[in-house]
Amino acid sequence: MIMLLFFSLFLLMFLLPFLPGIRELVQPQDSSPLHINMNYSKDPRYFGKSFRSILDKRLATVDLQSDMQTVKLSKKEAVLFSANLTVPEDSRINYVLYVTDNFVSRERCIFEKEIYTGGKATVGDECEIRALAADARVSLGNKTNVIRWVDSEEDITTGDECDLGWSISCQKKLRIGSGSKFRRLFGMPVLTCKQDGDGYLPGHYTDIQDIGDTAFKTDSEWLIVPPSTKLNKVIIATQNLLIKYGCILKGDIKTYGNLIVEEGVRITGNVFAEKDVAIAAGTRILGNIFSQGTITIASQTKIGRSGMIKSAVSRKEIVLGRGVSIFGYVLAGKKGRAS
Amino acid sequence: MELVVLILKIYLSLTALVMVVYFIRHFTFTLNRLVGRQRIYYQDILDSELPSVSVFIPMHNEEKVAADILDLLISSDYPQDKLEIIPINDHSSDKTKTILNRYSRKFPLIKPLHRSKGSRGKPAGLNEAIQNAVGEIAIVFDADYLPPKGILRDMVVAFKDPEVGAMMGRVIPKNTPKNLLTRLLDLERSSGYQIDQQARYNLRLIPQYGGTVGAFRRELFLTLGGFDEDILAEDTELTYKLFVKGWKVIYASRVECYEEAPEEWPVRARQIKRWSRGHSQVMFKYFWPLLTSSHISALEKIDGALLLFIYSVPFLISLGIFASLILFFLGEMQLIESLLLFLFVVAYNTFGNFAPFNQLGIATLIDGSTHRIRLIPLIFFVFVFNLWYTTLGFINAALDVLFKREILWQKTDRFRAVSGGPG
Repeated sequence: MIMLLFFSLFLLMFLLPFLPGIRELVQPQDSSPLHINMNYSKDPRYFGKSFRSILDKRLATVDLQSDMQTVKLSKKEAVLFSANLTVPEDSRINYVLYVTDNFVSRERCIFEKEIYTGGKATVGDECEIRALAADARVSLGNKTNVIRWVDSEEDITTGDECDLGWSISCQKKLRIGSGSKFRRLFGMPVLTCKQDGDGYLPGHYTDIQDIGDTAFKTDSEWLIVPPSTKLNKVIIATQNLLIKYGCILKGDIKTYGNLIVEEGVRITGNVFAEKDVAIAAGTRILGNIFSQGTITIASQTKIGRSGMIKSAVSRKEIVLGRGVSIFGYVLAGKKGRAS
Repeated sequence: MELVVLILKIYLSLTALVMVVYFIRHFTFTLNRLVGRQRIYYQDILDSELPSVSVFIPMHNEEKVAADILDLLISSDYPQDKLEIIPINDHSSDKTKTILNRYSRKFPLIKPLHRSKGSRGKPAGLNEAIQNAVGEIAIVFDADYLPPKGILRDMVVAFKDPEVGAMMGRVIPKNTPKNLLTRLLDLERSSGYQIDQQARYNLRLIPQYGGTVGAFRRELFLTLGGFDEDILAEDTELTYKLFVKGWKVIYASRVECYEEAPEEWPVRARQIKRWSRGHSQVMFKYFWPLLTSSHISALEKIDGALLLFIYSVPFLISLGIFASLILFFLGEMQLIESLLLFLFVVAYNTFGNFAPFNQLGIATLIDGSTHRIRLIPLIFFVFVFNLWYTTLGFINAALDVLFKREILWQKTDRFRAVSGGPG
């Protein structure tokens, strides 16, 4: 009897850890496969296109002549329909705006819902916008605060000291005002305002390496490409890399540490860095720039080339100097800002 | 007898040491995922200049799944003028050939390779197909995989990095709810990718090219001599081949693809035996090149060695259990008197037993899964199962080396109902 008791006790203790699992097997609460979006296709203008697609679908049967209606978009929303619309200053709008022609907002307005305009959109200073999709040019005033995104089929120009939310994208030129903060930018090209800024000056360095092989593996703290070097090979630096002024490098660059590119350098390939990247004034990079740290791009630098989409992607911050052009996509994992 | 006891004691102590080393490894990876610096993959790079791509799908009697993967690949967003899809019909005796020919007539970018002569098996099939392909980048999917629309772009962007020789995506079981086995495999996969692979990528160690949802530079592959057709784990072989020559393999957690996990224990047993045997073959071939390569850092060498030996650990543990039983019945288990060993045993019992469970738990946490965490204690049964079949695989590999045996490729059975075809 005692043996049976002990055995039962042992069995209970043995099975106890498995009981929650057995319950999950019998009454599954979390048995679905992990989700994969099978239709996901990368598109830097995804937000604007997706919003337009919802509008096209949901408004197909709606009379666009009437003023205000409740329409099911992602959920039921009040939508104001208008041909041209000018919103007076200090207004607070808590419904979706659907404007078939031009949209104008005066200063200090707050738009709590999305805006669509088939024409131009002009937003005054110090407004707050949740999301805006425009089929023509967009102009955002100084100190505009974008909560989510702005997208245009043409150009976008932002004022100074804007907070540009999650994404600003357009099919043509995207001009970013000075002092603006951003996460994602897409334009052909993305431009920062043109004023002369200070060139970037690198810190101290001590070592100069001979350039001869395809891949450079060095244990020294800095691998240095001497001034005005012309090279037609890939460079891989196992620590930091300094590219001195005036170099022409036809190939990709990879560094496990920091990368400093001095003034007037031309790089035809892609640039990858495990740490920070600092690019001095007047540099031209035809490929992508990727950093697991921060990217700083000084004034008058060009990334990519007309007609091609290239990217500047950083895990942390991106700082853009004045007069910078990037043909394509800019993504700052944490925050980006234009000087 | 005293000598035997001494040998057994030394062996048992070494086994404990090996286990402690591996639990430290598990904990390091898990902690890295919890609190360490996370490196991002390149999926956010948008680049309109895309390389040409050849997608290879090894197939041996894949009539149940062939149409599904082809349908998905032809609806990919990758530019069709830069894409060729090469299903490798490897000695199939079912309707695979008919299905592939039907697709190829309708879609010129599908160019099946029908193999009915020569050696059968994934490495041999891939070697032949890759030789005749044109893409700059080779991408491999197993036939049961379901690639999403944008996956090819996300894969090839890895090769913008000049030192990347191969990349590996993440595998997610589609048939998770099916039964106990598929649910436990789902946990294993989460742990393996979400923790092991990502942590190795974060720590710049040796992420593994896994043979499917993976890509590599085609010309480089040919320069390195292709796959060794006598090795069952061609994926592991390519990983080490690349690292030894100075190239890197990177892991992309974001590049996710559904697979069909084995639904029957005997099928899983064969799969594990094949992996263990193949991986151990790679261990015998690449251990020395790994240690002596001038292209690999010290940390990479340590991780690479631990990864090479991983399928031999169950064999060592099995022998350790055997040794401890003998010592116990001989009344010689007082080896705990050694302070160092005592510490090892205590450390192992405190953390070691816990390490794999901890890793699984954190993986499900990162994945945002909640209730499936309750299944973790049931992994104990998988542990015993894996121990046995991995040991068998390791012994087979050792016998292969000793007796130069011929290797026969065994494909994994499929469980999906037969799908349609091009209309």
